[in-house]
Amino acid sequence: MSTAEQEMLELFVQEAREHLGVLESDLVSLEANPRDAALLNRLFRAVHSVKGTAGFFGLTAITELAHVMESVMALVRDGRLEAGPELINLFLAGTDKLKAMVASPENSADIPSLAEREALGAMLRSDPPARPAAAEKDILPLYLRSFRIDPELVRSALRNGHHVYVVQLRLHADIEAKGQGILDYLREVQSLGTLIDTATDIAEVGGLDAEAPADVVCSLLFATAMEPDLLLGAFDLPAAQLVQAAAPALREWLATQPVLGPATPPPPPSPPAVVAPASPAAPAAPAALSPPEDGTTGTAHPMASASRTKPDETVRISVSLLDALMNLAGEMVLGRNQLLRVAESRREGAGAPPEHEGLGGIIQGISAVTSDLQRTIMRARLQPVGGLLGRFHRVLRDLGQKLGKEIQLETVGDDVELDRALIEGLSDPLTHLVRNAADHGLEPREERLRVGKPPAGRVRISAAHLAGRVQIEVRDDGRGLDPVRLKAKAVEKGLITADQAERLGEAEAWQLIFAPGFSTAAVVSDVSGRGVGMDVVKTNIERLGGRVEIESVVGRGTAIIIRLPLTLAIIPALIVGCGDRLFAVPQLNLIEIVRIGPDRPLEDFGGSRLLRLREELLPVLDLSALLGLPATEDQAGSGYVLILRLDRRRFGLRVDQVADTEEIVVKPLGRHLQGTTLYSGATLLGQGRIALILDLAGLAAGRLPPEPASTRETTRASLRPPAEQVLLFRDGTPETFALHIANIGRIERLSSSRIERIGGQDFLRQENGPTLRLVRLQTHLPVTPPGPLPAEIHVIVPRLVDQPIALVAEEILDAAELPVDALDTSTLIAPGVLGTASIEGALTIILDLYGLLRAAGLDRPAIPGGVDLASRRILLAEDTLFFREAVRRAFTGFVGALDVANDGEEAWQRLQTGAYDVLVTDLEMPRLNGFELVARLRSDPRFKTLPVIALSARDTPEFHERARIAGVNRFESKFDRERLRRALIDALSAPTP
Amino acid sequence: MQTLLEASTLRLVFAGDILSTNVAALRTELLATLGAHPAATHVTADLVNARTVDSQGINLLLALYRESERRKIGFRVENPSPEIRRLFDLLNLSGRFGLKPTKQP
Repeated sequence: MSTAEQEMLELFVQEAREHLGVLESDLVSLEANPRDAALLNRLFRAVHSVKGTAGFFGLTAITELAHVMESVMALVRDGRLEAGPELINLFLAGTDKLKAMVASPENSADIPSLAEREALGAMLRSDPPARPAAAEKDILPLYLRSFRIDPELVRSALRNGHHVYVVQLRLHADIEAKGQGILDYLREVQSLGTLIDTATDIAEVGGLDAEAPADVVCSLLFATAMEPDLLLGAFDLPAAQLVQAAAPALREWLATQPVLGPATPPPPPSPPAVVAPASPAAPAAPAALSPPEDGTTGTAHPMASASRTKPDETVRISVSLLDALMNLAGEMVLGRNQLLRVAESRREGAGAPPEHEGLGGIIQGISAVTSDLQRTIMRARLQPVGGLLGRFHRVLRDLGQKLGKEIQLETVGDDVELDRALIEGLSDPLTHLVRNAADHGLEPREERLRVGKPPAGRVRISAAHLAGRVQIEVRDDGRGLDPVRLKAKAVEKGLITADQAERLGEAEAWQLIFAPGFSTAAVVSDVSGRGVGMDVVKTNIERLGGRVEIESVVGRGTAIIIRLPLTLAIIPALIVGCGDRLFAVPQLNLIEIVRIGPDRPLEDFGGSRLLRLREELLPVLDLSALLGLPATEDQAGSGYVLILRLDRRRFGLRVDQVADTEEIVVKPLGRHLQGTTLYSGATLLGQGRIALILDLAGLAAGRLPPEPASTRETTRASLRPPAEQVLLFRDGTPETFALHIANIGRIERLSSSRIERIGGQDFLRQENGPTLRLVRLQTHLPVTPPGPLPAEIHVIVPRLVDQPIALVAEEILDAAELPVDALDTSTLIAPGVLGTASIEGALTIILDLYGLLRAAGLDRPAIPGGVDLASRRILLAEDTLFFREAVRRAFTGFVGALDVANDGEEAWQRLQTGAYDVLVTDLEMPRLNGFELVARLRSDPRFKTLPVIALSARDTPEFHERARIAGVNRFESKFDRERLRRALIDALSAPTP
Repeated sequence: MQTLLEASTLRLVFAGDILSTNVAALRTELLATLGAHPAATHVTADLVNARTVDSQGINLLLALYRESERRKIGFRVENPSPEIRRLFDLLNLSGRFGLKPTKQP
C-alpha cells in the first residue's frame, strides 16, 4: 500500500471510529426515544458513512455488516420496525463487531460477523421486501457497484492509458458555495474527460420534515488522462473526495463482460456520453427498502461528516503530524531555555559588549513567542472529552441490564478539551469508576424505593476546567461510603489494626478504598472486579500527573474527583543533582525544600531516616542510595530534602544539590530504560545536559516505612492546613514582604526599560491584555526608600482584584509557609499591612492586598447596598488568626459589629446568647467544623433561617455541594473580598423565608 | 404553488424556480398539501413554470420523492425545462423522477 493509500486508510479509521462512537451513544438514546426522527437520521448517516467509506477500500466484511445494519435502520426510520431493546442489542452487537473490524481494517475479513449479520438479516426477512435482493455475483469493487458502467467506455479508457476515478461532489459545498452553477461545473468536468456514470446519493435526504436538509452528494465515475493531483486542482476538491479505481480490478471485471463488436476508438473528450446501458451492473445488495432501478444508494461520501462544518474553517491533521509539531515546539522551548541561560551568564559575567545592547529584549521576545507557539500547538492537541464520556451510555446500559438496576447517566462538559494522551490514559480508570458507581454505589431498585429515592439510580460524569487543570468527576446518588463499614472491612482484611481504625477520620476512611485488595462489595462480581481496581485507578491517574479525591455522604452518594494537568508534554520541574547527575522532579508533587546540615540533621528511627519538620516526622528516601550512586561523605548531614506529596502521604527525598526550576519537555525513555519504575521520562535541560525525570510514585512504592501513628495523627490535624503559603519578595529595600499565594495571578520577569512613566505613575503595557498600573510598595508603606530600579525586575500581577495592577518586586526570594498563628498584628500597624511574622528567621511584612490598593487610591468605593449595614451584627467563626484578621479587615467599616469565634463550638455558644444577622463561618475548624455547625443550626428552629456564608480556601464543587447540603446559603472564597462583601449585602437584603 | 387533484393524482404546479430562497416555504406548503390530500395515490411535481433549480431545489424534489415513498404513493416530475432536464440527466435522477433519460449526442 502506498503512503497516500495508507494515509487515506488512517483517515478512514479515524472517521469510522468517530461515527461508531456516535452510533453507540445514539443507539442507547434511541432505546429511550424510539421515534426520535433526528436521532434515527443521525444513526442512519453514521452507519451509512462507515459502509460507504469502507467500500472505497474494498473492506468487504465491514461493508457487508454495515449494509445490513443500515438496511434494518432504514426499516426503523420508516416506521416498519420497532426499536425495542432486543433490536438495540442487535445493533450494539453489530457496532461492537464494526469497532473491532475498524480497529484492524487489514484483518477485518478475519473477524467473524456472520452471527450478527444473520441476526439482523432475520429482522429484514421479517419485513416484506420491497423488491427481491439482487445477487452480488460480479467481481466489481464495491465502490464501483453503485454505478451503471458501460464496459466499452472503461475498456477504451484503459486502452488509452487513462485513469478511472470516483469523484465525490457535494452540490452546494463544492460547487454553489464557490460561486458556480451545478450545470456549468458538470460541463467543465465533461471537458476534462469521459463521464462514465453518475450516482446521486439520496440516503441522507430526509423527508419533507427533515430539520436540517443535507447537502446532496453525487458520485461521478470519470475517466481522464489527468493525474490525481492535477484533477483535484481542476475540480477544486480535497484529496479525500477523489479515489482512483484500481486498473487490475477493472480489467478483471472487464474480462467477465462481453465484448461488443470490434474495439471502439476512444470517445472524443467532449461532449461525452451519459450512458444508460440496457443491463445495469448489479448494484450493491439492496436493503428491503433500497431504491429501485438505478441502484444509486450506497455510494461513499467520506466528506459527509465534514459537510456539517464550513469546509474552509477546519482541516483534519494526522496525529503524527501534531506530535511532530509538538516535538519541534519542545525543541524550541529547549533552545529558548539554553538561550536564556547564555544570556543570564553573560549578564553575570564581565558585561555585554555595546553591540549586544538590546539583546535581552530580543531574547525576551523570542521567549514569549516560543511560549505562545508551544501553548498554541498544545491547544491543537486537545480533543473534546465528550467522545470518551459518551461511551459510558453504553457501558451503563449494559451494566444496568446485567445488574437488574435502572441507571440514568448524565454527562456534563462534553466540550471540555484535554490532551489526547490524557484522554487515552483516562479511559480505563474512568471505566472502572463508572462500573464501581453502578455496581457498588447505586442501590438495587427495591432498596432505593425503601429509602425514598427514585427507582432509577443516577450517575453523573462531568468535566470542567478549573484553575488551569481539568477536573473529571464521577458522582452517583447511591449509598455513599460509610466510614464505619470501610474501617471494619479494612480491619477484617488485615489492612489496618482496630486501634488504627479508631483513629482514622472520615476522609481517611474513604481513602481505604484505594488500598490494594480492598473491596466493600458484599458479593464480588465480575462487573467491577475483585477489589483490585481502585488502587490501580489511583496509580494510573497519578501516572498521568493527576490526583484522585473522594467526597461522600452516607445515604446520598459518592463523588470521585480526578484532577489532571492539561497536558503531559511540557511540565514545570525542579532540577536536582546527585553526584554529577541531574534529575527533574515534577513541581506538581513538590511542597517545599529543606536544607539539612549540622543544625538540622536527618534522624535514624527503626532503620528509616526521618526529618523532623514543624513537629512532624517525615520519612526520607535518599536518591543516591535508591539509584545506587556512589555515596557522598555524609549523606545524612548535608544536602537538601525535597518535601513531596503523593496523594495525602508526604515524604522527603534527599538530594545533593538543588539547581533550578525549568519548564521541561517530557521525552519518552529509551527502550533500555522502559522497564524501570524509577523514571517517567527524560528531558534536555537549558544547559544542554540530559536529566531523567523521576517517577515519584514508582520511587516511593514499597520503600516508605509504614506510616507511624504520630505522623498520621499529624496528618489528621493537617486536613486543615497548618500554615498558609506566601510568596516572599523584596523591592529594593531591606524589608522582606509576603503576599498570600491565593492573591497572586502570575509573576513576570521583564526589563525595567519597559516601564512607562505617565503623570507621575508607572505603567506596563501588555500585548494581550490591559495596561497594568504598577504599584511600588515604598510609595505607600512606611519602609526604607529604595535606589533606582535595576535593569530587570519582576512584576506580581494579583488575582481577585478588579483593577489592572501589578506590584513591583526587584527580587523574588522564595515561597514559604506562614504558620497561621504566627501573625503579629501589633508591631507594624499601617494601611496595606496585615501584620508581621518571622519567616525563615527574618521579620517579614505580610501584605494586605486590598488595604494596599486602598492606600494607593486604587480601591473601588464600598458597594452601596441600599441595606442598613451599620446596625447589623455579624458573627465570624474562623480558627486561624491569619484569616480572622483578613476577613475582619474585609468587613471593617462595612458592618456595624463583627464578633469573632475561634471555632465552631465557640460560635455555637455565642449564638446562644447574642443576636446575629449573619453567620460567616470557616468550614474546616477543630472541635466543631463548619459543616457540623451549620447542620446543628438548621436542626434548631431558632436558627433555621439565619443566613450563613461559608468560607473556604478550598474552592471546589464538592465543598460547595457539601456546604449546600449542610444548609449553607452562600459559599465564598476567603481571598475574594469583593465577593465576600457582595455576599453579605445579598444575605442581608434577602427577605427572611 | 398550484394544487390540482386529478382523479387520485395530486399535481403540484410550482410557480417558478426552486431555489434556496424559497425551498423552506415550499417544504411547509408541500407538507400541508400532502396532509390535506391523504387519498392521493400519486404525486406529480409539475415544473412547467420553473427554468432552473439549485442544489436545495434538487434536495426538495428528492425530499418529496422520499415523502411519497414513505406514504407509499407514486411520484414523478413533469415538464422540466431543458436546463433542468439536463441537470437531472447528469445527476442520474431522471429515472428516479419518472423521466425517460435522454441520450446525449
